[in-house]
Amino acid sequence: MNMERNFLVALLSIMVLAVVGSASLADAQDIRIGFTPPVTGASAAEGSFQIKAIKLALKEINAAGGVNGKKIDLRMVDNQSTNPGALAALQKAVEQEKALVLVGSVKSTQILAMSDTIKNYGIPTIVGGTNVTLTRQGNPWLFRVRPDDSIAALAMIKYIKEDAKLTKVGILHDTDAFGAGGADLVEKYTKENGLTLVKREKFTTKDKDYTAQLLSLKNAGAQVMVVYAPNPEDAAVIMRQYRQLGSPYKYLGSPSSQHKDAINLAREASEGLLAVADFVPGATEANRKYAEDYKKEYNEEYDGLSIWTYDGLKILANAIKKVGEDRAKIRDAILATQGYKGGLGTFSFSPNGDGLHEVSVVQIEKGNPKLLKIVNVGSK
Amino acid sequence: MDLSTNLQMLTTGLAMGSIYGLVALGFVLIFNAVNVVNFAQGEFVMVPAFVAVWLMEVFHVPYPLLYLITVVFMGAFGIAFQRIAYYPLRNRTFLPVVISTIGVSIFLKNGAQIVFGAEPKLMQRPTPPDALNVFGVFIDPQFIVIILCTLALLVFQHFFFEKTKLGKMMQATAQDKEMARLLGIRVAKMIAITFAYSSILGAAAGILVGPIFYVAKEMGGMLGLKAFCSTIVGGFGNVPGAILGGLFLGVVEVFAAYYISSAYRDGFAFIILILVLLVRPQGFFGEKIAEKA
Amino acid sequence: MCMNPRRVKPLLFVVLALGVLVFPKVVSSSYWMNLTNLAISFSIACLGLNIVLGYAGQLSLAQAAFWGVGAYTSAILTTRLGMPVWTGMIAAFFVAAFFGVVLGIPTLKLSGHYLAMATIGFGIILQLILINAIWLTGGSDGITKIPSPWIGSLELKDPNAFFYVAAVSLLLFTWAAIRLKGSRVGRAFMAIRENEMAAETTGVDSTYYKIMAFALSAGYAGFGGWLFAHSASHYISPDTFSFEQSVMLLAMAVLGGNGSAMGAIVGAVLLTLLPEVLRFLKDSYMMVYAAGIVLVMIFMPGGIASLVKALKVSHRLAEWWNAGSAVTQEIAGVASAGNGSGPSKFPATVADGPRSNGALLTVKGLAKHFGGLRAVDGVDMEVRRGEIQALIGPNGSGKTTILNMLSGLYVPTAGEIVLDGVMVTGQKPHVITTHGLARTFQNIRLFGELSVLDNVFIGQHCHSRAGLVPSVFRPPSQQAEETRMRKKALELLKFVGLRGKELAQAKSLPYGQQRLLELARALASDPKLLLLDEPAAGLNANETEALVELLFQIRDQGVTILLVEHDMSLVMNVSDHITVLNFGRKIAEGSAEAIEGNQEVINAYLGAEVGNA
Repeated sequence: MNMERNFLVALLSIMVLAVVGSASLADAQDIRIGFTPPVTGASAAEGSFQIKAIKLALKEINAAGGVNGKKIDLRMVDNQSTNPGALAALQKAVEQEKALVLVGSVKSTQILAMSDTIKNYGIPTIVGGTNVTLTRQGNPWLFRVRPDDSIAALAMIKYIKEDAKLTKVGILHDTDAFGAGGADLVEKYTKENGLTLVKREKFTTKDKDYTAQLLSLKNAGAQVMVVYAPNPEDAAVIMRQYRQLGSPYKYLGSPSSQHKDAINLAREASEGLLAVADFVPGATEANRKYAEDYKKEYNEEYDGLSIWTYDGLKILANAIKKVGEDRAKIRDAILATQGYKGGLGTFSFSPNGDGLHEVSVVQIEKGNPKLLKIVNVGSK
Repeated sequence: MDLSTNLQMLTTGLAMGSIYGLVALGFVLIFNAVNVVNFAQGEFVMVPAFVAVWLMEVFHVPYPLLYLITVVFMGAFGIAFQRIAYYPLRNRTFLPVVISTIGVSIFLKNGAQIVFGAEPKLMQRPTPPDALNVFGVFIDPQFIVIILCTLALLVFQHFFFEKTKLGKMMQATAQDKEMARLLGIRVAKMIAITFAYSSILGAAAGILVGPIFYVAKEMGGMLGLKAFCSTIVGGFGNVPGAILGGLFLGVVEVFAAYYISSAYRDGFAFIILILVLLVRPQGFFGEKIAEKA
Repeated sequence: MCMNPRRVKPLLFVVLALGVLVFPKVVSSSYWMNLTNLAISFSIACLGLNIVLGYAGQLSLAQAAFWGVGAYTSAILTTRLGMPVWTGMIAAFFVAAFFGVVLGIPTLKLSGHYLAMATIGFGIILQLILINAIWLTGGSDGITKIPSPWIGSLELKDPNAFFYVAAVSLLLFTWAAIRLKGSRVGRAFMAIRENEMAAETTGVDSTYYKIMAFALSAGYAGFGGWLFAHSASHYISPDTFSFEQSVMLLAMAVLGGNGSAMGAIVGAVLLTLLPEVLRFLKDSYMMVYAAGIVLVMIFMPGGIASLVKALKVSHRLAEWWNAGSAVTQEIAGVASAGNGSGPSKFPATVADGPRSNGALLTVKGLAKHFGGLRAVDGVDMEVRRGEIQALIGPNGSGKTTILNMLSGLYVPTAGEIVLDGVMVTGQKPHVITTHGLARTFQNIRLFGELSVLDNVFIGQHCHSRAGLVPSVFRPPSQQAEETRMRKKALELLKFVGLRGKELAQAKSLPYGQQRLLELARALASDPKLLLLDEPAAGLNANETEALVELLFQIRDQGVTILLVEHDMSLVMNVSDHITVLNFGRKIAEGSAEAIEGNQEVINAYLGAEVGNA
């Protein structure tokens, strides 16, 4: 009984201390930018890369004198990889951490969960989610710094039709929002471009075996398999099992197939496979510099899926530099950003908030995505 | 409906099934001994996998030594686990124990992230990565190793439990603790050994399965649940039943994914579970236990 | 204490109402308001879990799935079909409750781990459906732009405004849950939790109540899901309604204290706020959280509720609160009626039905085979109205098996059983109880955690009627019924000699008194025939004597008794008629004298026991 009581007292004290401790001290000299990555939970792996990328940007900005003489204070709040967590993180960042602007999430479902509240706050938010609808909801405060899914999907179909000159398409996709959304778009563009969709196979995230689906696509006569596997382990297992079944058709992966983690896990199985990358590796000066700086800072290759936080922070910093600390003005300044050369590519914002409109087709060579072709589908 | 496709799927099904069976072995042992369902059994697979990878990457330990160290580590781990999560609750009803093991499962998953980082890791394969072509069926050589090891473990276990004194003492403890104690068997020690052995089985599973599925903090989750399903389907408490249940589940899963729906693949394991619980709750090989009025 | 609790109670409500009104003004940030609304949504789901797990003892790890069903039902109705949000609310509750029934039916025979696994599987399957039934749910993309509720022309979009809806709902659902606990339905749930077999033979239809428990708990969760969908993000996607979330809800319920409605709320609030509060731990907060859960299980298994209950303050508060209630006064009244010799009457409703002075129970050709084992192999028996008959025989002769068949726990392999003109062969135990049969058990099966009084209350289950709605709303008819049942229970307890122990926990009684309680519970169902399985087992000489007295008194009031016993002197003393079994067959029957001298019987026992064992 005594032990129980002591335990409860200890528990309560920790909580009180934490609540008190979480009130942060405001320093008028800093510009606070909020950031809501998944530090814990199912997406923690991606989160760690996003944090590395954004910290590099932060270091570079502050080392160059900050913005208008003030340093950037990056306030990171864990979104716990859940929707309610993302919303809570957003609210904490704005209300308690007093963030001026925000770098948000990369997961489309979390962004949708945050969207209404972002609109209510009127806070300019950079996001990395690629679901097409994100910038079509009538929320003028969301800015997307990665090409949306329709661009990637269209690029895939164009490549299949014009470059690979194949006609029978099969799809293997994760049933989550990214996979299902991407597959829907690929299906749509397949039909619009006169190609045949022979079969569409699905799997649930973190599934361990894809034999049934791979065989099914083979038996349906697919000449090329488009793969949407956002989870790097899944992508790697698919690549491996695809190779072990004798590579029965061509492989064209969504951007997550050329994710650093996926390639590292699949190793030789990934060699020579094709994927669409939502940026242009090695093609621009800015991208090459990013690769160098990242390597110097962290002693490892950069990860293509998290460059958006780096670019996002810099775009925000530039906007604030131009117009000061008024949210509405910052918003306009971002929209006015045209031709900005970032690590992901050249950003030109369209009126609905999309900043990037080009993707590339890459081939994995010696563990790195090598550029094959750039595809630009213009502003939408 | 062609033969080569069905054969290929049968092979994969058996391979996946033997993995479920292997993990299920660990479940059954603990359940037999202390009537506890260990919801952290999947993590018993994940933790040694991470340890093995770490030893490989940081210290470049060669395979045989690697396995030895991991096995010893897991043995100690099992004893620590039972001391912390089971022993204080050994006289309570099953609910606190269930929740405690769930708590440990969450603790281990997040602990693994903190200690080893959040990214999935590659475990070096002892076998070549290219599939063998056997009568037109492609088999990953690692699966063959898994199947062989599972069979070997089954034989070893039968021998150990039926023929050795320690094994019989452990069986006695599992069936009637009070009586075992009265006969001079150190019950606490037997239980500790049971948990240690179950963890070592987890180590075997982790090392065998790591190269195929990669090592990530979530690798044990669904594996544990499906292994649990295998145990029930085979008959709770029945060791060969657990393996057979696993094989059955693995095969049904892959065929259902092909012919019915690949999206609901995970669901089939649970549908079978519920059907078995409805129609034949003692599983295919278990014994009916009636409650005494 | 000079304050009259009766006057304080309404004041308390006023204070509570004021608190709710003022709360959003005090908490001015939408961050905390949003978390509060989330905590309330979880609380209601936890209250539901508390009903199925805490009250009825059925472990469900699918609660998040029902929460999701409620959210999706309302989201679909309001976004696709344009229905008002309040319609969605009602639909959310009932559709989720329906799914609770769907889960409850196949899992009826399961318990413990098996039940847990089945519910896990059910929850995972439901989530898969949410993800893949894209035509219905929109799939992984989720459903956006879920509308806020309107009151008249006021849209409750702001978290502060929504809070009122959430808070009022929470108060109502909590009130209902607490009401439920102290009612006939709540007692039925708890009886099932404590000892399902005994609940059945006492007259509780465990199938019906288990399904009801699942349905209620799912309905609660569905309502919580409705709150979640129409607040905060106004967006739902399937990944929120995962097995991990169900685990979280279970942890909340257990942390708060299994069986306590207030505990469920405290647990939910704590575990919703805790991750926020632990943010300073950065990426190790989940580890701390998980470690905390394990530690709570080890050191505070009864959760916070048990901790609070154990405080002296709580005892005094509880006493003061109950001091003015009718219940306490009645108990005091009966107790103060003096220590005189136990009344020789107990309240029994005169049984209706054919009043021939012949056989009350007729058994023909009764058999029970377990595979190759013939436990009972063709037995004919008759128990005459108003007699005390003993069923004896060596161990393994089939006595308890016959009792189990008579009370419905076993279905006979062959033969028929007629009780007072009604064919009851193979009927379910609770049905047989309504026909006038009650029993006690060889290994005492009391509802241990419940009070002595509650045990006898449950005995009257089949002669009372209050269903779910009256149990919660307590109309005068229900209150009258409860009063009637309480009066009868108190008198029964007085009859068996357990006066003064009404509020004690059943399992805290010494062994002999536990037997008496089981007897009182059996008598509470107004049986025509009372089956007693080794009622004297473990009793000392004094207690046995008292038991004999009781048996005669019971017989004198018109209740027929059939008892299984090994204590030969008791048998000889008490029985009007004895039936002897051996190897599943009847080998002799007759009066005590006849049996005493019967050579076959002596042989069966290898020397009959003469005198007390």
